[in-house]
Formats: sequence, C-alpha cells, structure tokens
Amino acid sequence: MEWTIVIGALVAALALAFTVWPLLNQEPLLPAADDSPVADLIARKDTLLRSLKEIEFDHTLGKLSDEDFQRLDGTLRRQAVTLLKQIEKVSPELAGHEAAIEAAVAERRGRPASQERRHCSQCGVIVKPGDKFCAACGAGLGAP
Amino acid sequence: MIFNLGYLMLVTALVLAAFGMVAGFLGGAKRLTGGAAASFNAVYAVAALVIGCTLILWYGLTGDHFEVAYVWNHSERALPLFYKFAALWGGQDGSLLFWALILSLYSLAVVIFFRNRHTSLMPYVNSVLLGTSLFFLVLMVFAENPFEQYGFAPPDGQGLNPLLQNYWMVIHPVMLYLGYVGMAVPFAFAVASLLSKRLGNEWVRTVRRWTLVPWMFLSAGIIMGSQWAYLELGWGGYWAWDPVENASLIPWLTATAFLHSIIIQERRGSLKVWNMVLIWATYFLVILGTFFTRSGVLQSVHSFAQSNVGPFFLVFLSSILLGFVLLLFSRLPLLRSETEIESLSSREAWFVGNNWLFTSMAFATLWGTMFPLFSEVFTGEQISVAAPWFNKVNGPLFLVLLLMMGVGPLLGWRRTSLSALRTQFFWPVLSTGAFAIAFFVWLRPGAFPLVGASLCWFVVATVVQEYWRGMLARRAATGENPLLALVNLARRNGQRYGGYLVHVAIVMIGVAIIGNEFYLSTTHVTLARGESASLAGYSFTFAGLESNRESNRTEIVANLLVTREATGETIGLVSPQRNLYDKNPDMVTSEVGLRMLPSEDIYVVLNGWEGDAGDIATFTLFINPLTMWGWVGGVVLILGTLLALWPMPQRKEVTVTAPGGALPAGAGD
Repeated sequence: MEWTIVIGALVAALALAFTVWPLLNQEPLLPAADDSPVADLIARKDTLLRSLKEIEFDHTLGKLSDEDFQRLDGTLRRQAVTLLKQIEKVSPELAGHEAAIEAAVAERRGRPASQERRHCSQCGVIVKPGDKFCAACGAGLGAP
Repeated sequence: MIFNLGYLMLVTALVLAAFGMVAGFLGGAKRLTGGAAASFNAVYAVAALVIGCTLILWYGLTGDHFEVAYVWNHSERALPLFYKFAALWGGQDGSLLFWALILSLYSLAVVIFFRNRHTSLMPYVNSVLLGTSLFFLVLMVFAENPFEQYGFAPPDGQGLNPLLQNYWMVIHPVMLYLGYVGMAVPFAFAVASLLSKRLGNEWVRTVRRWTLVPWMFLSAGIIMGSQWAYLELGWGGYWAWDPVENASLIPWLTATAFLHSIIIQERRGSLKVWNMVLIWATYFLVILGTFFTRSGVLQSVHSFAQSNVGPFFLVFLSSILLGFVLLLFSRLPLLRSETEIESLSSREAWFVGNNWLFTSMAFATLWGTMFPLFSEVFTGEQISVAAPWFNKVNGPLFLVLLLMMGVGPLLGWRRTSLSALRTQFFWPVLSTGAFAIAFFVWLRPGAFPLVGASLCWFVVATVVQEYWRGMLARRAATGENPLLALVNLARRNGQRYGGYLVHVAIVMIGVAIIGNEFYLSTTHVTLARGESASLAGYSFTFAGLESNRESNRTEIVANLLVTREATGETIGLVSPQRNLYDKNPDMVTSEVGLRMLPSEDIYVVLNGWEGDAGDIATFTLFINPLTMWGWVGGVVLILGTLLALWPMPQRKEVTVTAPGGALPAGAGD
C-alpha cells in the first residue's frame, strides 16, 4: 500500500510538472506559416485551381458542354486573378512572384507554362493566349 | 497494489485533462504560447497515463487477478488468452477505459501531426479533445472504476459473456470504437474554427481526411457487427434494428452526409452552417450511442452492463447541445454562404438532396430507437417499434438514395446542359431499362425488388461509364495503355474514383439486402439420424451429433450433408453447433452452420436435440440469397475509402523566396 502511494504521487507530480512547465513561457502566440492572413487566401486559390482542373476534366468527360465550360472557366479564372491580387495586397513581398504562381497553376493543370506569357498593359495581370480583353480589368489587349 | 496505482493514474489524468482543457482554451483566446504549449503537454500526459492504466488492467486480466472486480466479472482462468485481452471491452468499466484509450491515441496522432501547423486552431482542438477525455475520466473516477477491488482474491472469475466469445466480437467493437471516437477529431476542428473565427477553407480541408478515417472504421465496425449477429445470434438475419445497432448506424448516416456536403463547402463556399450542424450531430450521436449502450435505458442484445452513468451522460449531452448552439449562433454572421445553387441539374443540388435523405434516415431511425422512451414517458409502458417499421420507413428512402447515387456523379458542378445530360444518361438509362425488363420477365418480382435491383444496376452502370470515359480521356491525353490509364486515373483522382468504388460497395450491400428481404426461404424441421429434409432445391441429411470439449466450454456439433436436389451434386457438410459454457450454463450460444455460395448462403441453426445419443434434432434451415455480396461489399467499401485517402502523387512545390522568408506557393494538404 505504502509504495503504491509513493509511486502514484511521483507519477502525478511528474505528469503535473511536465504539463504545467510550459506556462512559464509568457510570450505571445506567434502565427505560423499556415496561420498568416494569406493562408486562407492561398487555400482558396488552391481550391480554385483544383476546381479549374476539375471542370476541365468534366469537360473532357462530356459533363460540361463547350459553352458551359468556356463560361465557367472564365468565371473561375477571374476569381483566381482577384484572389492573386488580394494575396498581393495582403502580403506585398509575394508581389513579383506571379510567374512562379502561374507556373504552379500550369503544373496543376498538367501543362508547361507558356514560354511567351502576355501581360495586360493596364494592370499587369497575366492574360490567356487568345484573349482579346483582360479578364481582370477589362482593358483591350490588341491582337493576340 | 498496482491496481491502486491504476486508480491514482486515472485521477491524475482527470486533473490534467481539466487543466489542459482550460489552458488550451485560454491559450487560444488570449494567444499565449504558454497556454497552447501546456495543452499539448496535457494531451501527451493524459495519453501516457491512460495507456498506463490500460496496461495495468490488461495485466490484471491476463494474470487472473480476481481481486479486481472487473476481472472477476469478465474473465476466468480457463478463458483463452486472446479473449482475456478482449475482455477489456467486454464490460462497462473496461469499455469506458477503452474509449478513453482510443481517444487518447487519436489525440496523440492529431498533436503529433499538427504540432507546428494551424497555430490558431490547435489550442482549441486540444481543448475539445481533452474535454471529451475529461468526461470519460470523470465517469471512471466517480462512477465506474475499472480498478475497484474486493478485499480478498476469489479463486476464479465469472467468465466472459459467452456471446462475446467469437472472433468477430473481438474485432467488431475495436472497429466501432475507432470509428465512434475518431469523430471527436473533426468535431474538435469544427469547434476550434468557430472559436477562433477562422472559418475559411482551412479547417474544411484538414477535416475531410480525419473524417474519412473514422468513417471507414465505423463502416467496417457496422458490417462486422452484422457479420457477428449473422453467425452468432442464429435467427437468420444480420440486422435487427436493435437500439445499439441503430446507435452505430445513425452517426454513420450523418457522417456520410457530412463527407458529401463538406465537398460543396470546399468547392463552392456554401452550406457552412449545415456542415457545422452535421459534424456536431455526428459527435452528439456518438456520445448518445455510447449512452444507449452503456446505460441500459433501452433493452438490447448489447446491454451487457447497466449502471448509474445515466445522469453523467445527460449532463454532458446537454452541455454539448447548449454550448454548441450558443457558439454557432454567435458566429452565424461569419458563416454566410458565398454562392447560391444555380440549377437543379448540378451536382451540388443533388448533394443537397442526398444530405436531406441521409438526415431523414438518421432522424427516422433515431425516432424509432427512442420511441420506447417516449412511450414510457407518456403511457408508462415501453413500446418498441420493430424491424418492419424501420424497413417500411427506411426502405423507400434507401431507393431514392440509390437513385441519387446514380444521378449525382453524372452531373457537372453548377449546371449541366441538356446535350451533356443526353450523353451522360444515354447508356446507363438504356442498359437499366433492358435489365429491368429482363429481370421482370425472369422472376416476376414485386415493385420494390424490381425498382431496387434496377436502381442498383443503374448505379453500377454510371460508375462503369465514369471509369470507362475517364480512362479513355486519360489515354487520349497521355497515350498510356488502358490498364495503366485506369490505375493512374484512380490514383490521381482518388477522392472521386474511390468514392465511386464505395458507391459500388453500397450497391453490393443493397443487393444482399434485397435478396434477403424478398427471396429468403426458411423452414423448421425435426430430423432423426439419417433422415432428410429439403428446402429451395437443396436436400439436408442429418448425419448425427458429436460433442467436443474446449478449455471453458462443451460444443455440441450437428452434421448435415447438403446436396443439390436437381443434380444430386454433393455440396458438403454443414455443421451448426451449440456451446455450453461452464460458467454460464443458462446461456447456450449458437454457432450457425454456414456454406457461402455466390448465389446464396446455406444457413442452418441447431435448435435442440433429444435423447442422450442425440438421435433426433431440430433445426431451422435458411437459404439466404446473395448474402455473400454484402460482405464483399464491405471489403470493397474499405478499398474505396483507402483509395480516397491515398495521398496524391507528390507534386513539386514551388517555393517562392521573398525577403521576409520562404512561403510555399502551393501550401496545402
């Protein structure tokens, strides 16, 4: 009986000390990489990219007519551009890395990033080859 | 005494769980590194203590320490070692400890996996998980101490409940608990996202996999439970709508609804409140189910122990209900939908439909299960609604569900045009029509089996078409050979194609249900040695009884030779048996004699015998059509879920190095 209490008390004390110990640290909780304001924007961008991939797949399978596909693809791309702009605004250090992001987009969609990428002359957003107007700001782009 | 130590460890774990719960909450709310870290350490410490307690109880069980009340009640010297381990979940106190153990292991997995991620969510996640642990520790410390001791050591124990001495019964509760308890994890993330107001896509993406894993275990547990009922209870069926069976099915239904609707939230940013409610309901129903099993409020084959834990459960359940409703209401403005459903011919519209069905089935089953309680309150008498009521209510809902399972995958997101509908539906509908006509001409079935079987065909046809067209598309894009294209297609789109496999599994289970509900043959016979009986084209000849002695029981085995009447072909011996346990002579258990064929099960129950030599015996014979497919469906379901869980092939991450540090552009799961 005696030793049970001794060991029990010892175990309890150890466990308690182990658990309470960190409380001595009074520093504020710092956000980690996935906790920064851009995290959610990036998560949403990821989802958008997956949706883009998925509608492309659905289109290939015949679940989306050509017309619907064009419409949806356009809408999703516009949303993606808006998101990218937001990301740029929230965390300016990411600005200028659109090329890398675009490469990620291209990789997600399973094709290499185009070598000659076109930018909108008004807002600088990357535009799709063949587009006559910028999807983000609506400015005319001239001949593709 | 080591068992006193076990109790002390439970008390310590209780204190630390309470402390960690508060520390995690304050750490999250006031953003204190110390509080957050303390909640992590509390999870580790509680897990270590609970694991220690489990080892001590196992030590007691395997070492025949009958001075411990639990060991005396649920074990005996002659019990095979295997069942001595399983006796941990064979009774009330032990199974509560087992609950706490599995929760601790899940919590441990979560904190190890997310130690340096989701910094804002994790303190709250720890808090919710520790809160759940706290409840079970309170039960053990104050009501159901598994380490309670007599002042002396009785020479031998009472033995384990004979019904539980079956290998399915060893594995089935483990699966069920893994499924049940695991639902605490997605719930913890949901609550954490509400508390931290981080209600974007972050928790949704994290939670899907952590729901899929317990969902898979829960499915396996339910299927193994019906396997056990089929082999052990000997009434010819596998599902009796027993309160405890229902208690496992109801959270399965809400979890299945959640797994579907969470995809819509991820893709379309809608149904946010609904998803919160679903995952809360799943968690609530899991605790409610444990309450049903553990309190004895409802009569059931599973009410192995009854006790006074009821009030504890009621307090805990009401606080989950109240706390969650208040929290959800306070966050409603943040949960506004980002999009509307645009068209009825969209996948999301049918997903919403399926959600309605799943919740209707869950609600109907819950209502039927709790009806005896309601009737007792109002009439003073427990009136149970029986299997026919559940079948009548859930049967038609299941048919509609099958229809949705077929149609949903054929539709695109947002809107499907008429021409696309035509290409999608042409072959599945045509082949289903042909099947329905052939089936009708062949068997002249009633309306329910006709519609049911045709819908099953329809679902399979759509899945085959999905795989086929996907394979063709991938082949066209990559030039891979058909087999490789199929494998890569499934591997790269595991969520979708794994889901389709699960649909096929549900169809297989549906086929077994239809076969058993509508085409089962059964009869009671009394046979003298050498006599034959016939049923549904099979002839059964009684070859005599034999008796075998095992360590803790006597087995009486009857042998029947089964032949096919039309051809005279011998199928083999079928040997139903009865087990007489030394410690429980009044509870004679049955092991059915079974021969599984793809077309039907030959299933024989030994009811009794006359004379010392056992020259005359009575049997119940069953021919259960297509039952095997239900079990095959169970295996396919697990394979499909594994495919959906399988990690995507590694993508190259694009790392953008900025002056402020590195941030992966593709940060995600």
